[in-house]
Amino acid sequence: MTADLIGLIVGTLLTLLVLSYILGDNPLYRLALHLLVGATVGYGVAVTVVTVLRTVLPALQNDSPDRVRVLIPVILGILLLFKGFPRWSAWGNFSTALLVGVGAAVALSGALLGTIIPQAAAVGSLDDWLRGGAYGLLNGFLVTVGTIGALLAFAFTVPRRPTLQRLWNNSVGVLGQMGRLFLLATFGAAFATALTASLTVLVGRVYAVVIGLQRLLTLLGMSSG
Amino acid sequence: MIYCPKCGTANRQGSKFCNECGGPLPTTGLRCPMCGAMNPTGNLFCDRCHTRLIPTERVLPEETKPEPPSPLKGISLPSVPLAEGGVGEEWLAELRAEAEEMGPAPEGAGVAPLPEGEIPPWLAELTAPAGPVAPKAPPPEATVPEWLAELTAPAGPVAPEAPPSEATVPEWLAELTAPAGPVAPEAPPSEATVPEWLAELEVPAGPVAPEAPPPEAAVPEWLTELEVPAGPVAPEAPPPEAAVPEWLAELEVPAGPVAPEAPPPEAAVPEWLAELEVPSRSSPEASVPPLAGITVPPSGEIPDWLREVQAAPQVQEGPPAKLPPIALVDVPTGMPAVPESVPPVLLDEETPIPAPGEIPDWLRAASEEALSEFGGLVPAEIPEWLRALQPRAEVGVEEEPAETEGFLTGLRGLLPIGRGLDMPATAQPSLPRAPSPAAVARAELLQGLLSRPLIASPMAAAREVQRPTGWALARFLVGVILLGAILLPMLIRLPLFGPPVAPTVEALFAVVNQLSSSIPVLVAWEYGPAEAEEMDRVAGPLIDHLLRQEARLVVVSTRPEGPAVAEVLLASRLADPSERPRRIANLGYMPGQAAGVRAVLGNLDDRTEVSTGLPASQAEAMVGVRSVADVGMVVVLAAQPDDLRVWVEQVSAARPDVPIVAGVSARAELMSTPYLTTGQIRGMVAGLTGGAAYEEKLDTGWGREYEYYLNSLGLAQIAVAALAVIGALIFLVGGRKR
Repeated sequence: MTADLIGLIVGTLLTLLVLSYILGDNPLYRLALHLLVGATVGYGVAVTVVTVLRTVLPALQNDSPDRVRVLIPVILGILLLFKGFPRWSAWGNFSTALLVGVGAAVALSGALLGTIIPQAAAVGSLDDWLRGGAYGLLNGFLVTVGTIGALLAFAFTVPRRPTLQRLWNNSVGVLGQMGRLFLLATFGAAFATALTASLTVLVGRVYAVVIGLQRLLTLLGMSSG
Repeated sequence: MIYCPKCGTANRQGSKFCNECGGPLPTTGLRCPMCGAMNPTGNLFCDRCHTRLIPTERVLPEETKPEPPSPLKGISLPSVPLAEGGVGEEWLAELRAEAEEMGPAPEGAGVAPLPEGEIPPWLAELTAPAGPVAPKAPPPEATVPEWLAELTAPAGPVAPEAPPSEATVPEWLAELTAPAGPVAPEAPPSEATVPEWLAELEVPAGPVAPEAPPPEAAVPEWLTELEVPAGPVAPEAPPPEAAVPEWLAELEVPAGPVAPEAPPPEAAVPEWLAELEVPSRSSPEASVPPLAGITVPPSGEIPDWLREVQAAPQVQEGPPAKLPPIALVDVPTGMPAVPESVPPVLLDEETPIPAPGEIPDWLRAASEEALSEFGGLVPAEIPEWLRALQPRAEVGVEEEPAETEGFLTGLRGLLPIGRGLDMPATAQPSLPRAPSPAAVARAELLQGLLSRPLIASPMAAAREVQRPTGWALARFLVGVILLGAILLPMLIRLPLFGPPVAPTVEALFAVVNQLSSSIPVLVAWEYGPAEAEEMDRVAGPLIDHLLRQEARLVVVSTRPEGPAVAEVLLASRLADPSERPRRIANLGYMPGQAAGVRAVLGNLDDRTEVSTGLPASQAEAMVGVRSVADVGMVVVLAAQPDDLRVWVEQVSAARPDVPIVAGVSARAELMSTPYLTTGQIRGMVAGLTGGAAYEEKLDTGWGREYEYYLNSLGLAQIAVAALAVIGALIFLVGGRKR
């Protein structure tokens, strides 16, 4: 009960400090912000160290074959620490290269097999759109025009020849403008979902503050329940 | 561009050699030939050493300019036989070849005459009358002019002639001419009248002894053949050898009367040549052998060409008419045969050998003088041929520049200097370009950024931002409106919104319902405390459903705070804490992002359980679970779309047959829907609305709280929309002020 009460009070106060930003940038808001960032980073570091040490140290003490398997990552990790010292940062290049290379390779293969190819296949063909009736045709039209238009919206160059410029503006320019409309709609939807998520968090925090104040008043005997 | 002066190809600026023909290209500057300094185009003199850069035209002295030789008619020039295979006159070679083929022409027989119309005019002038030739009969004295009589040798002994008067013959000519008969010693010309250089050339005044002719080496052979036997000679002693120059000795003709009884031998002098009698005086014409094929007209008949010479004795000024190849035309019958060979000329080593067909300067001058102006010289006038011998200082000849680079350094005259060779192909000066306005703008921007003082802190930067009046009030009003919209449903229960509708929840609910009891489910907990307020309402109903299905939850997270947040929610959802080891295994934080996900998918038992600290392989909930292939479903609880993408990509790549369901925030819903369309995600619950719909499906008693949440969220969204519209109207009506 005591821990919950302390947690409720601290949580309510920190929420009020954050909400004080309505009045503008102030030290209370910055205090809450620094606390959030510091606690998050500290907790992350603690979790990482504990997790890694708890995994690695026992393996190094054993005589099992896992000792060799763990020893190489430990050496690479130690070399990576040299990156913090400019004079010795070259010692960490191999570890950095390994991290970046392996990460890029895994991400690229995953993106190809997990996103690009399935999404491209899901766009469908003309037969699929025709079988879908009016909805299918509309979907196919939006997908085609939206994709091409969005790509051409980023065409910022024009030919030098005047005749090609007119042709370019009448074709690529128009599709680019349509693509910009698709982008506006997409960004609007993304903003709406992000706003919804933020409002949900705000609602939860306000709800938590209200609930916390009710509990505090109940504990203090000032509330009727 | 630099244009090649050789082939005209355009080359890039700065090229040294032509890209087409490889020839050197003119440089854009002028290199001083003396000091090697580069000078700009247009300089006449070097900026460093003041050496002239552009050479002037080579100025030849007026006196040394070669004049075109005068045409000579009817006179054959001395020549040397053509060398074997050497460069010679082709027409002469053809002439000889034809002559050899024809064999010795019979006397009096010639080549068939051309018709009247085919004979060129020049040949018509040269052709002799068709009548029989009487070479030995000289023309009568009455018809032969006086000057021609001098050219022809008298039949008998020549009487000594009186020297020409002083008014007609210059002194130099008097000195050069050998007196016929006894020559009286003459007084040398005075120093005032004879220049010094001429004095060196003058012949000693002593009498010439005909018995002592010049040595054979000094007299050319052809001249020797023309030599007339000496007649009575004056008893004067011959001049010493050293006093007579060699070239003058060549001109020298033995004086004295000519003995007609002693003609030259037949072998040495052709017959036709014998007909041209040599005068006794050493005139320039006497040294010229007659042209082959020309016969002396009979007595009393003067040929046309000779008549023209007599009528117009002046020297022609125009370019010399090339002597046509005689052998190429048919000579009329009666003309003498072409001699087999021209008598060679004996020359000493110092005498320049004239080219075939070329007339030496001294001979040309002498012949011109004799033919045209004989006897008409102006007193004290130096003839042109003699003037050419006058030594003179070099005037106005610029020295060739010396090479300043390479192994030829110091040598001169290796490369010709031509006007314009060093001039650049493009004479346009390269002026510095003015910077473009864009470049100037960028430079000013950079200068402005560098000139600005450094900002001490973000707070100071925030203070620098000048907020418009009422900004704080407007922000306060927005905050109050939002808080009012959120609190109002809590204070007053308003049935504003009906039950939530989420089509994707149905599919998710069906998938979870199909899970068998005690099946392991991998749960990716990808959100932290900041998103827990929303995500707990999304993940709570799904976790409840899984626990209700007796599934064993294997929790892992790529975010350090993920396992802690998971512990809080799991502890609150699990009704019996004693079942936790059997039902839940929290494997904790997994670093490495995509690579970490890929690694953990293959080695789930290689980790440590967070709550107990035991290896995952020893956890009760991990029995039979070693990799993702052993789990019945993968649940991704992600607040960010990238987290869901990483998990979907890696699981799809590793185990496509494992079903994936997702619980995402409202922010990640938009990016997660395509995976739901492709079937990579079997079901999805998104945002507070999705959680409320799932909660309603489960009917776990949390509906009242979700009702508050949804009403507050709905009112807040309306308030935000209203504020956005009002703000846009204010912006449009009040002007575009920030």
